[in-house]
Amino acid sequence: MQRETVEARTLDILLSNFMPLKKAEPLKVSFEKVNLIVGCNSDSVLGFNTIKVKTRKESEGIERKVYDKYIFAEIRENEKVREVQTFTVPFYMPWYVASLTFLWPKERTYCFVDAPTEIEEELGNETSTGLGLVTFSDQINECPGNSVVVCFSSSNNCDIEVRGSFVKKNGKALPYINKETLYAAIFSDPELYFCNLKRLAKRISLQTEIYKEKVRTLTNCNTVKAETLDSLNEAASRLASCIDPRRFSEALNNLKGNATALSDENRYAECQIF
Amino acid sequence: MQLLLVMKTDMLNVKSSKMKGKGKKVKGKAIKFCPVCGSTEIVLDSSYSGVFKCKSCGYRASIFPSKKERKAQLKIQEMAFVLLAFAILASFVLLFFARFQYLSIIKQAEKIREERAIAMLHGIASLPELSCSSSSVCIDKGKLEVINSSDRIKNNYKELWKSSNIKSIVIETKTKTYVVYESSEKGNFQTYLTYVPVCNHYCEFAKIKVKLILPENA
Repeated sequence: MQRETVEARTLDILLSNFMPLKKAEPLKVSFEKVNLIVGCNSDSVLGFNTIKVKTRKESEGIERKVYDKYIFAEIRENEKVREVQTFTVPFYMPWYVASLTFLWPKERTYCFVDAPTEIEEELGNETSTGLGLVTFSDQINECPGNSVVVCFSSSNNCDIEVRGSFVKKNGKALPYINKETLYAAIFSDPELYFCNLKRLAKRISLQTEIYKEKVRTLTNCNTVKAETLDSLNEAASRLASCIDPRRFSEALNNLKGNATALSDENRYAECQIF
Repeated sequence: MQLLLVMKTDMLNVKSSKMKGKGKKVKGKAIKFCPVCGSTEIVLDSSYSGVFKCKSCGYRASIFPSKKERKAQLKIQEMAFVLLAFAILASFVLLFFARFQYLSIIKQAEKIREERAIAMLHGIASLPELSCSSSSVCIDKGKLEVINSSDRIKNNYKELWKSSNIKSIVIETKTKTYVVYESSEKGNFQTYLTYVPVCNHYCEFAKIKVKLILPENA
């Protein structure tokens, strides 16, 4: 028990609230290969992610909770890892809500087939700003062996397919609304994806309350309407309480619509709130 | 039988004294003793040749049993004492080393805690609920006013502060003190502070103070 807990501390940066992660960095998990268990709970006010390190069959370290990070990962039950690759992106809806963290075993490689240039520039190694985390290809057979193949156009033999506004993986369809949620859907386990999106919706709802109070103090100038904020809050609350996965896409798109409306209103306001 | 054994030991004594002459190590000198009273004051009886006499009880015999001086035993005992003394000394050294290590671990823990607290201060200042919308690192005065005046909003983030072992977060400008979080938790605390710009229409420097709950053994 003690040994497993000590090993989990090597992931300290990921497990501590307020500790910022770099845009992309590999994190050492342990000296020996271990199984990493990433969990999520969206029941409390903010919800939290959990991480546990499991070295042997019956031996699990203490579960660590992190409230201000949104970890999207997919680590299979018997998959052993020594090092993980992480990268973070800011999530705006319409203001900066939080940073999303994507995590996968260092040994695993992803190959994106026919991906948009925007994504290739960010995750590939063609440009100077590219993170070089993913291999990009025009054809599936050019992808390295054993890599997870992510197809952006209809093809056969893909592990993950991006179709319209859904990411299809493990027989499930994960709706996405922007580049950040697309990454989340690709790199995350479906259960973790839905749970973390609910957590984000809760966070948006809480932040809306702060902005609503702020708007109330701005009496001397033209600013966003409280009703627009109310609509966003309502959309976020609906997403946070969504139980039916089939209605999740609708709730997510509704949230995006409200965020766009608020963003537009704020852009032309005399006193901008964000 | 007993007499035979005594004779054997006597012969051994003779052998050992012979070996002495050849430069061999003698383990101990044989001392005759009286089998009746146990006295070691045995002298040659002048009245009879080859007869010994116990001075103490007067017992006479040509052969008296003898015993070796316990030099080897003494040496073993000496060695045992030396070893014991060494063990005690070593345990003192070990104790001192352990204490030294313990203190250095405590110091290290303190340093790590301090580094984490500083990182935490910057993390708190750049939290979306407090920070300015612009990319520069600053605290939005409007958001700060809202959080300071609303207990309901403060309570929304209670689990985040609590899980980070935070007792209180206070932001002090020249004119006002804003309380972001305050808990009634009791125990040992350590205050860490840094300076951050608080901006509205204009910016001013403010102190951000975080009181952290220390672990019990710190």
